Amino acid sequence: MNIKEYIDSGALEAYVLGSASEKEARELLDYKERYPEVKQALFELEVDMERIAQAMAIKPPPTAWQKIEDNLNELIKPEPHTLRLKEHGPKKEEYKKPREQQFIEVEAESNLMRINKAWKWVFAAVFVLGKIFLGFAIYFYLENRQAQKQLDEMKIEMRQLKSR
Amino acid sequence: MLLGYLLEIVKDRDKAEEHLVSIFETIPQHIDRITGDGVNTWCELQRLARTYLAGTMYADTTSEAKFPNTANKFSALMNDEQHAVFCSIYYYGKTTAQLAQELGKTEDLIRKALREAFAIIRKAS
Repeated sequence: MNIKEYIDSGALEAYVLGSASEKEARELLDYKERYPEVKQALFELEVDMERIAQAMAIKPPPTAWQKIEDNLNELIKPEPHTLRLKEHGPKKEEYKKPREQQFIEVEAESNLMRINKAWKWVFAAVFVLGKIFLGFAIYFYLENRQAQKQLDEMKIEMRQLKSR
Repeated sequence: MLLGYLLEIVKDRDKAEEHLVSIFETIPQHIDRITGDGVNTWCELQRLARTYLAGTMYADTTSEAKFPNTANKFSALMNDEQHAVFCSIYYYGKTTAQLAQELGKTEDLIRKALREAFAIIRKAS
């Protein structure tokens, strides 16, 4: 098999676009492993594919990701149990768990916590207010120190005046 | 990039966005295939989109009039045959065998036209 001829045959282009048959795809993957020229040509074609896509790229609206996230969350939500009336059968002896199994494990495996996005504004407000209060505290501290100094100076002056 | 690709096919922004959301929802089922070692994620994502669209009304595209009226600089440089082959495969996921039968040509000629289309793209970029 002449590899140059194979590369020039258009088989790689067909594979990259997903239009090659299964047999052709298997053959190509085999050649890709065996011949670095095929691997390189395939890589260049994939770069071309990205280039074509970039030429027509459009930024999705910010709501698109939210929709995807919501739908995925919907998919992984457990199905709600249907409500059924309680059937009173013959009374069974109540099962009691052994003492060591009577506790509910409350510690989650993950260290992450999910919170509503609205909280970010609350955190931002708390942060900004914190900075403002800190600024005021520093300002009043300096003011107070200044006043204290002036008071001390005045006391000294008064003492000096009295002594005269 | 995927939204632009979908828009070229469906020509309706809202529908393209709907398809984008639907395609992304199927990604967890194909995550190994898309993020595998030595795999080009974009090509796999595009293949996934093509497979998804093949199950919709956009799959039936025998007429050239339905080809995307693409504004990208590459397709404008191709001749009719290259354009038809490239668009049928790139946008509608047709196999070379299918296309050879439709156009009454050999598979080798289809692959040759496809290769020429790629050469034009490479030269233009």
